Formats: sequence, structure tokens, C-alpha cells
Amino acid sequence: MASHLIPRVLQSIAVVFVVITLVFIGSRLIGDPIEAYAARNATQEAIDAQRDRLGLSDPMIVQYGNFLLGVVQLDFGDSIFSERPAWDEVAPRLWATVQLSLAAFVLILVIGVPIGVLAAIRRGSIPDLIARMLALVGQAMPNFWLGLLLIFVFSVQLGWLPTSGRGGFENLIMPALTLAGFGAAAAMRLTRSGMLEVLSNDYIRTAQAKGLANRTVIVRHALRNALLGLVTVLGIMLAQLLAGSIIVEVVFAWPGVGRLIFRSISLRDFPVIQVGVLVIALWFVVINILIDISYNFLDPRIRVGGDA
Amino acid sequence: MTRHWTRLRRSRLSRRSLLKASARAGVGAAGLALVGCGDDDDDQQSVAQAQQQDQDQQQAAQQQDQQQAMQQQAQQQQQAMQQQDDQAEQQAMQQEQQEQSAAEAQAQQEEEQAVADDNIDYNATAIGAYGAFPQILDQGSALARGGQSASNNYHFGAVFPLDPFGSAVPGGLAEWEFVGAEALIVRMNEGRTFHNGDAVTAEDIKFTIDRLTGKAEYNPEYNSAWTGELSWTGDNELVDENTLRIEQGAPSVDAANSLALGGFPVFPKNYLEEVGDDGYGQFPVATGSFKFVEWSPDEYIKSVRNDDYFNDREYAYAPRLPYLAGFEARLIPEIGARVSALEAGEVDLANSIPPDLAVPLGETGDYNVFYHPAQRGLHIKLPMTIEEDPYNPGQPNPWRDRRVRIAANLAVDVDAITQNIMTGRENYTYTLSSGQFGFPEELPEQRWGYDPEEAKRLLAEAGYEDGVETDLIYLAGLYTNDQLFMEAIAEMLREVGFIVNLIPEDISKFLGEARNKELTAPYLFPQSAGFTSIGSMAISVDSAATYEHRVEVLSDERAEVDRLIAEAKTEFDTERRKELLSDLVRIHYLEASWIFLFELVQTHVAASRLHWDPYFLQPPSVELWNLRSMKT
Repeated sequence: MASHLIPRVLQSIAVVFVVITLVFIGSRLIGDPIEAYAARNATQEAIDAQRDRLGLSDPMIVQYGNFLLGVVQLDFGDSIFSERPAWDEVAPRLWATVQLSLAAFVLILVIGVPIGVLAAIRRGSIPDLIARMLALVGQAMPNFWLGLLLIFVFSVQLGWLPTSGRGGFENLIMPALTLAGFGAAAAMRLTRSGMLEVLSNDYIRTAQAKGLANRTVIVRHALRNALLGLVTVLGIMLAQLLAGSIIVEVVFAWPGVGRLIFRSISLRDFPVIQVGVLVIALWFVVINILIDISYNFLDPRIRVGGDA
Repeated sequence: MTRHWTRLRRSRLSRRSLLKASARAGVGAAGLALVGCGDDDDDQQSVAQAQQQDQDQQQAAQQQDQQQAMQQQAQQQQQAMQQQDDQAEQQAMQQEQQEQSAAEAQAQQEEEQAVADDNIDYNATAIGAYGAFPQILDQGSALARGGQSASNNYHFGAVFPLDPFGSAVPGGLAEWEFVGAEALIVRMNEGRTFHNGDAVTAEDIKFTIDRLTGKAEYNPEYNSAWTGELSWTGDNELVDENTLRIEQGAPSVDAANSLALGGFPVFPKNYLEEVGDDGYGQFPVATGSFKFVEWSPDEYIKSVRNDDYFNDREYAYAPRLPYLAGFEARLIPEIGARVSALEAGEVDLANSIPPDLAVPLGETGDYNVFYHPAQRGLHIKLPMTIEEDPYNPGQPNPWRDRRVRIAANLAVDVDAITQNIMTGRENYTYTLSSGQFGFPEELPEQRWGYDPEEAKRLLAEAGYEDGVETDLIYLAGLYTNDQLFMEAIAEMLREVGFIVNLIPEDISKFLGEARNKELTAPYLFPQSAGFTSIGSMAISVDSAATYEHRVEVLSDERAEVDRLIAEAKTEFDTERRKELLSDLVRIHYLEASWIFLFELVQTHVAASRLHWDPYFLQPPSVELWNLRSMKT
């Protein structure tokens, strides 16, 4: 496994390097942060002084060198706006986003997969029809709209859940449900189609012919094989949840890293943008490695480092 | 689209007309009915008999009639005189009655106020939802501009208080005295303390000014948001422990006012030097009417009433000791979610709610809608300084022709926009901020009204029968309904012959271009016009530091405009200054140097228990110190 993982890790480091380089270049293209925060009646001298202080007057290659040197030393620079270390801005919000993403991921698993299995084993029935309709609605409805709808029903009309903010468990329910909406629908459809494909295989008929309990056939033989294709998608979904939670964070006033990056982009707060994107890139890379590892456990035929 | 907006307006007018017409019809019908109530036949017969008798006796009675007529005339004169006397008496009585009823109304109002005051819950707290938060809580820093300062500025108190017009008055932390145009003497009042209990000293004021002007020894590179406002300051020195002398490096009529602006921060020297800029940005100690308690960036800012606040509730000026015992600001960026939080009872005040959402909520009776001018007199600035038409190289810039500028003003139906897209409470603006500054009183009579036909004629007269091609730039999403009203304006301009390409632009790009004077097209000017005095307007219109003269005039009167600005900036007599600036406004308006629009109105929605009677004529935001929670 190690002989397989080491190249993968090295490959991932290269990916991260490319990503942060692109982010460095991209963030410099979106505008000048001094224009965003300088007092409107600031003199040109004052603006130039600020630019010098932040190192923005240096040639781009010098700025890039300083940036890479900082990354290697885990010094990502200070936020232009709060003047605090950029990592200190991202870190407290990172857990909030991870918490939200994990909760949404759990919902995707507990909603999408069982309903997908149910729809597959009762193909053509009313539950299947309902599941397919739910999947369609879940994928078609924009999540900001779903969020506002949930707020209206469960907070304004029923008064069961808080509208926004990050407090207790009850604050997590609606944002997680909103974030999970699209993913759960996608997981449901994938599980259903995967299960239908597996259920039509000979070995399933063999298992049934051997007199195995239906539950055993579905869980041990069908679902496990159907999940193999689903794992990659779910893994990418988990990574995307972290990066794609911005809208949900805005609607539910969830103090996460997505909103921070969004705001930092509008303010041209380069250091914070760079740290935020670096974290997301790392998250993607780690998830991908974990997916690779998980194959080994899900399918014994796959031998990591060997021939599949 | 123009037709759409004007149709809406016409439809409203026609409904009014219909109402009036039906009212007239009702009166007419009633009159006819009353006439119809009499016995027509009997009346006609009597008249005929009288006429016959008159004919028979006409000659004999002629002399007698003349005598009677003379007698009647004399009687009528007497009656008229009597009536005049009666009327005079009646008027006197009416006036007396009016005065009496006014006095009664005032007494009743005072009584109601007393009852209302009894109903104020002084232990109540409130939660307000805001769309954005500052990045740090140091009100002095330009870095705090990332969010609505309204969610933080109540922690800070200025050196001097303000009157309802927004002008500084001596009192509060200190008294002042001008030494001609040379210096401002600040004398501290006793018993004023920071939130941590430390006394506010003249040294703290000196430190504050030094910090905000980049002269503080501990950090000369401090990124101040107030350098412009304090640009008049020269050296300052402590005369004694309670007195500070601030030299006027550049004599300014607005010197005292700049130390009284809303949110102006006074820093505690010892505390700030102890915790540093970073620490202060996270935990500010100041002199405001609310004390900071704690915050979680992107989540909430908690505050409590500063019970040691030196301006009590009976104090003549503002701010004063708050009614609310505590206040929590919550960050809810999404407007719909802010409204939902209010409806769910999670917050008591939802800030910055567009009128289309706020007004229906107010109509339910369950909420109070607060309106106040946003202190932004919107206008479209025209590229008059460019010689050549950017769309037709070699041709003169059409905007340099006054007729084209007037045509643009005549093309835009500002009233239809404010009535149909905005709240309907927006005032047409004749200058940067007509509400606070006022404008020459006769100017409304010369207003460029809505006259598309005249606009077309003027364009044709100026030689632009085929239209004037132009971009129209605005900052998308900066103001309530800005996309809507800019689309309406663009369409109205198109209707009279302008070929408009509407361009929503990003703020950073826009400000950079504006700063570097690279904008070659008309643009919606995003400058706040939050002037707190006439003097500050004089400074603002002449803010040559970053932008060109905001008051641009092409005619021979440019020199006169410069003279007026220069004189107004150094004129200490308020009335004379007002005259100077009135002249300036008049020249500028009649030159049609901008497309004049309206002053934005800010709308907020509060739970019915919260009441707010604005103290300032033009409050910059909901006055938190003045917000009352009534007992339920």
C-alpha cells in the first residue's frame, strides 16, 4: 500500500502547488485591495504607502517567491483587513464548515442510499415513483431557495427551528438539510441505478437460488458491489460540500470558511483567499487518497499497488 | 420600460382622477336631488304672476324702486361692515380656538408622552440583524470598513455632542473655544470616563488625534479612516492636564464638527498602548453610550448600556443614555433570512430591508417600519471634462453641451422612479445632500421636470437627432433596488434618443478608475453625502485629494464656483456660509452638471414593541440610544 500511496501523495503535493499558484495569479487579477479599503479621501501618497507596506509594489515574481517561502514555513501572511494572521481568520471558521459538511454528508448517506436501495428493490412501485420524484425535485431546486423555504416553514410558520446562526444542534438541521438536498438526490439516483445493475447479475440470482435470506442478498452481495461505484462520487461530493457551502452559509448566517472566502474575494484580501483555497485543495486531495484506500476494503479484488 | 414606469404612475394618477370625478359626480347628483325636492309647478306659477303684476305697475313703482334700491344699498353697506366685523371677530375666535386646541393637543401629546415614558421597559434588551459586520471593531481604522459600521459605532462617542441638525455643540466630553482661525482649544469636562472606568483626559484626546493622523509614536503607520476629516489639524499640545490646544494647520470652519461626527472614536491611550492595535480591534474600550461585551466575528456583537454615560436622557443634545439595557447585533447577510428571523421572533430589528418587503410587513400592524434618509444624494455624474466624444473620435464630447445635459435631466422621470421602485419618500435632490444642507429656496421652481418631448427637441437643437451614444456605469448591488432604477433610467434616456449601454461594475474596479480619473462615461456616483454641517459640504465638494471637483461647471462660472468653494471653506459665519453654498448649488444645478436624482431612504423593520422617534433631522442610521422598548 505504501508503494502506491507515496506516489499518490507526491502527485497530490504537485496538484496543491499548481492550485495555489493559480490562486496566487488569479487573486492578483481580480483587483487591487487598496482600492477596496482605502479611505475615499485618502491621498495618493497614503495609498502608495499602504501598497508598499503590504508588499504589493514589489514585482509579481518577488511577491510569488515571498508567498511560496511563507507557505513552506506555514506563514501565510496577515489578512489585509483584520491584520491578523490569515490562518487565524480561517481556522475558527474551518471547523464550522467541516461540521456543516459532515452533517450534510451524513444526511446524504442516511437519506440517499436507503431510499435508493428501496427504490431499486421495489422497482416500478409507488415508493420507487415517489423516490424518483424526490430525486428530481432535490436536484432541480436551487439550495438557496430550499433554504429559504425551510426557514419559512420550520421557523416562521411552525417555530420549531431557529432561522439562522450557529448555536446548538437545532441550528445545524436546516443548513445541513439544505446542503444535503442536491447530494442526497444524486446519491439516491446513483444507488438506485447501481443496485438495479447489480441485482440483474447472475451471482445475485445464484445467491437467491441458494436460499439466502433476501436481506443478506441485498446488503452483503448487492449493496456492497453497488457502493463501489458510489464511493468515488460520494467522496467527491464530500469534498464539494466543503467548497460549495457558501450559499448555505450566507442564507443561514453560518460562520464558515466559504463565506469568509467569498467576502475575502470581494475585498481582495489575498492572504485569506490563498489560505482558504489551500485548505480546500488539501481537503480534496486527502479525500481522494481516502477514496483510494477505501477501495481496498470494499473490493478484495482490488489490490492497492498490484493489478486490479 | 419607460412606458411601464410611467404607465404605473399614470395609472395611479388616473385612479385619483377617477376618485375625484366620482366625488364631483356625487356632489352634482346631490345638488340635483336637492333641487328636485321642491314643488316645481307652484314655484313657476308664482313667478309668472309676479312678472305680470310688475309689468302693470312698472311705471308707477319705478321711483319707489329707486328709493328702495338706495336704501338697500345703504343697508348692504352696513351689513357688509357688520359682516367684516363679525368675520374679524370670528377669525379672532377661531384663532383663539386654534391656539386653545393646539395647546390642548400639546398637553395631550405631553400626557401621552408621559404615559408612553411610563411604558418604557428600561430593562429590555433587543437583537438587531445586520447584513454585514466590520472586520475589526476599531472604529478608527480604515480596515473596519468591510461592514456596516452601524453595527459597531454605538460603542464609540465623539468629543462633542450634536444638535438635531447634525452640528456640533460644546458639551459632552469637552467644551471648545476657537482662537480665531489659528487653533481650537478643547477643555475637558469632569467626571467623563471610558468604559473601563478610566477618566477621559486631554491627553487621550491628543493621543486620539495623533493616532488618527498618523502621528502617534507607537504606530505612525496606523491605517486611519479619519485622515480626511482631520486634515485641518496641525500640531497639538497639552496646555494643562485638562486642556488641549489643536493648531489649525489648514483653517477649517468644520474643525469642531469633525470631532463630533457620529462614530468618531476617542481612544484610551493607556489601554490602547497596552493591548496594541490588534487587541483594540478585538476588544474596543471607548466612551460610547453602549459598552462592548463580546463578539464572534461573522456571528454577533454583544453590548450593554453604559450606565455611567455622562449625557443623561434629559440632556439637550445627542447621543444620550440609552433606553435599552442591552443590544446584540447579529449578522444575517441574506435579506430574506433577516426578515424571517424577525417574523420568527428571533430578532427585534431587521436592518436594511428593501421597501417591497418592509412596507407589507408594516401594514400588518405587527411591525414598525423605520424610515430615514440614507444621506446619499444620488446623481449621475457626467463626463464633462473630456474634450472628445469617446464613441465618435474627432467629434466633440456631447456632454459638454448644456442642452444635452438638460435633455438628460428632462428625460428621467425621477418621481415615477421613487414612487414605483423606491419607497416614495425619497426627496429629489438638487445637490449632494439637499436635506441637510438645504438648497436655494427658489430652486424647486426651476427644477428640471419630466418632459421627454422637450428633451428630444433639445437634442435635435444640439445636433443630435440621431441620438447620443453613451455607456452608463453603476455599482451593482450597492444600493437598494439599484439595478431596477438604473434600468429604468437607462430606458427613459433611450426613449428620448440616448443610445445607452448600461454597465454594472465592480466596486474595486470602479473606485480605481474614478480615482485615476479614467471614467469616460456617465456613472452613478456612489459618494456618501453624510454631511453633518454646511462646512463639511464645502470640504466634500472640493475633495481634490482623490477625485476631481465633484461640483463641475464648464461655463465661465467655473472661476466663480472655485471662489465660492474657497470662501465657504473659510467662512466661519454660518449664515454667510450658507449663502455662499446656496449660490454654488444654484450655479451647479442650473448648469445641469449632473443628472439629478434623489436621496435614498433607508428602510428597517422592527418588532412592534420597539419605538423610535428620530432625534436627528437626518439620522444616518437607527439611533440605538434612542430606541425604546415598550412594556407589553
